[in-house]
Amino acid sequence: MDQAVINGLAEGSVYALLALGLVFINRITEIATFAHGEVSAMAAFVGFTVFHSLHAPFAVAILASLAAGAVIGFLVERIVIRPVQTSGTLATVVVTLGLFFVIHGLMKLIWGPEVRPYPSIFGEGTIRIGEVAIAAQNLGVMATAFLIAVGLAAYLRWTRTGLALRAIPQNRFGAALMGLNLRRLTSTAWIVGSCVGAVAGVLIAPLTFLHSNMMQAPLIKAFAVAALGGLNSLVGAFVGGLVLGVIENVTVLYIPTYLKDTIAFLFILLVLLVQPEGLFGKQRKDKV
Amino acid sequence: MIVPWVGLAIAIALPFMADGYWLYLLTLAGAYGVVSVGLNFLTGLSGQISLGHAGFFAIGAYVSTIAQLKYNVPFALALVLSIASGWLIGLGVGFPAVRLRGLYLAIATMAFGISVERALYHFKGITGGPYGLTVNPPQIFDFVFNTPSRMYYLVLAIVTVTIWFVANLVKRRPGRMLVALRDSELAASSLGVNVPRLKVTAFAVSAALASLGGALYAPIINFISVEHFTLWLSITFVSMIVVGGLGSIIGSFLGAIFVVVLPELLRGFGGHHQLVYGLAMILVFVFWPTGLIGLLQKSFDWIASRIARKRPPPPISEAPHT
Repeated sequence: MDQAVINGLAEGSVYALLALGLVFINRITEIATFAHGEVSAMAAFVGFTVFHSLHAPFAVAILASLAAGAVIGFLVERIVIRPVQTSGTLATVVVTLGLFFVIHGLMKLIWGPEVRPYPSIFGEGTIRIGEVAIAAQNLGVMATAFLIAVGLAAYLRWTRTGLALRAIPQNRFGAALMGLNLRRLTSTAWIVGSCVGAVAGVLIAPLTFLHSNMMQAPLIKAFAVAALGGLNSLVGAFVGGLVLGVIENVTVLYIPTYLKDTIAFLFILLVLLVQPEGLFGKQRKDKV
Repeated sequence: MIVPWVGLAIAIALPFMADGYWLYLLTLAGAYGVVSVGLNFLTGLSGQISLGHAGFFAIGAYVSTIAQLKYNVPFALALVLSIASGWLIGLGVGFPAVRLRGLYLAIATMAFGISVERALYHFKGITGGPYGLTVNPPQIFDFVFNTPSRMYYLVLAIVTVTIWFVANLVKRRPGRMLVALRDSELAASSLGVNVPRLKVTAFAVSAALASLGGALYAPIINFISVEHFTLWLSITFVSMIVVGGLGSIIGSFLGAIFVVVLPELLRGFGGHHQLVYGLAMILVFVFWPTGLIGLLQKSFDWIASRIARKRPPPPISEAPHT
C-alpha cells in the first residue's frame, strides 16, 4: 500500500511535469496546445542527437534540448498560432491537433520508429526509506516538477514580465493600450512553456525510453490533470498530477491493471461534472 | 442545388470506370464520410468539439459484427442495433457534455474515446482484443454483398439516406437552433431554445452516425481489431471535417475521400501521411477556412460564369431614363 502510494506519486509527477508547460501557455494565451507532448519529445530527440552524434558532454546535450524547446516554441507561436490567436477555441484546437500530427510526422521522418534508451540526469540508483523504495529518477522528476511549479508561479507573481504576462488574459486590449508588447509577451509565454516541455521530455525519456510515441499516453494524462486544475492553475496541475497518480496506483491493487486508464478518466469526468471549470479554475462570465 | 444530383450520378456511374481497389477505397471513404457528416453536424453546426468519435465508431463496428457473428442477427437489423447503441451511449456521454465548454468537452470526449479503446482490450473474450474479429460480407435476404461493386452500392445507398436525413435536419428547425447555439448560447436560450436538450440531442445524433459508419467500416475491410480505434482515428475524423469544410455536408465527404486517398498517393513517401494531414489542417484553418468545398464552390462559380458569359450589369448612371 505504501509502495503503491509512492509509485503513484512518481507516476503522477510525470503527468504534472508535462502538464506544467501546457498550463503555463494556456494561462497566458488561453490556448491549450495538443502539440505540447510532441514538442517535448522532439526536444528530447534533439538532445539525444547532440549527445550521440556530436559526442557532446551530457550537460551540453541537456542545454541543447532546452534550447530546442525554446526554438520550437518560438516558431510554433510565430508561424502557426499567431494567425489563429483570436479565432476561438475550435480553431486553436484544430490547429494544435494539426501541429501534433506535423511534429509527430517530422520526428518519424528524422529519427524513425526505433525505441532508444536515454541517459538519466539522476543516475540509476534506488533510494530506500524504511519499507518503501523509490528510484532516484522518479524522485528527481518529482522534485523538478515541484521546483518548476513554484518557479513559474513565482515568475508570474514577482517579476515585471510575469506581471505583464498575467495582465494579458485579463484584458488583451487594455494591456495593449497600456503599452505592453503583446506579441513579444505571447512569444515569451510559448518559449517558456515549451522550454518547460523540453525539461519534461529530457526527464521522462529515461523512464519511458525515447521513441516518437513516447509522449502520447503522458500527454493525455497531463491534459486530464490540467483540466482538473482548471487548465490555468500551476499548483492545481502539480497537485492534480500527484493525486491522479496515487489514485491510479492504489486502485490497481483492487482492479485489473488495464482498467487503470479508464478509472483515471472516470474520475476526471466526475470532477468536471461537479466543477465544469476544474477544481482550481475560475468561472467565466458570458455576455451576449 | 444541382451539385448533389451531379454527385450522385457520378457516384452511381463510378463502378463502371474504376477498378476494384479504387472502388474499395471509395467505399471506405463512404463509411468514413458517414462519420464525417455526423461529426460535422456536431462541430460545424453547434461548435462542440469531440475527440472521442473513434469510440462511437468502434461501438458501431463491434456491436454490428458481434450481433451477426455470435447471435446470427441479420445485417439490416445489426445496422439498426449499432445506430441505436451509438445513440444511447451518445446520450449518456452527451448528458455531461451539456455542462462542459469547448476545450473541456474536447478533453472529456478524448477520455471517453480512450476508455472505449481500453474496454475493448479488457473484454478480449468478446472483441478478440488485439487479435480482432473477422467480419463476414453483409447479406440481405439471400443477396450477399461479396464483390467490391456490390459493397460499394450498399454503402452508397446508406450514404444517400444519411445525406438526405442530415440535410433535412440542417435545413429545418434543429439545424437553425444549433447555428444559433454556436453563435451565442446565451442569446439562443433567451429566445427559448432548450439549450441542454438540444446539445445532448446533437451529440447523440452525431454519435449514432459515427456508429453507423463503424458498422459499415467493419465489412468493408473484413476485419476489426482494437488497434484501429485509437485517438489518432478521432483526430483524423476531425481533420476530415476541417479539410472538407466545416458545416458542409458534401464537404464532409470530400474530407473523407481526402483522408482515405491521400495515403495511397503518398505510398512513395513512406507512410508519412499524418504529416500531410496535419499540414492540411493548419493550412486550411489559416489560409482557406472554407476547406475543399469552398474550393469546389469557387471553381463551380467560375465555370458557371464562363458558361453564362455574364455581362456585368450596366452601371447605375447609364440606366435608361424613363
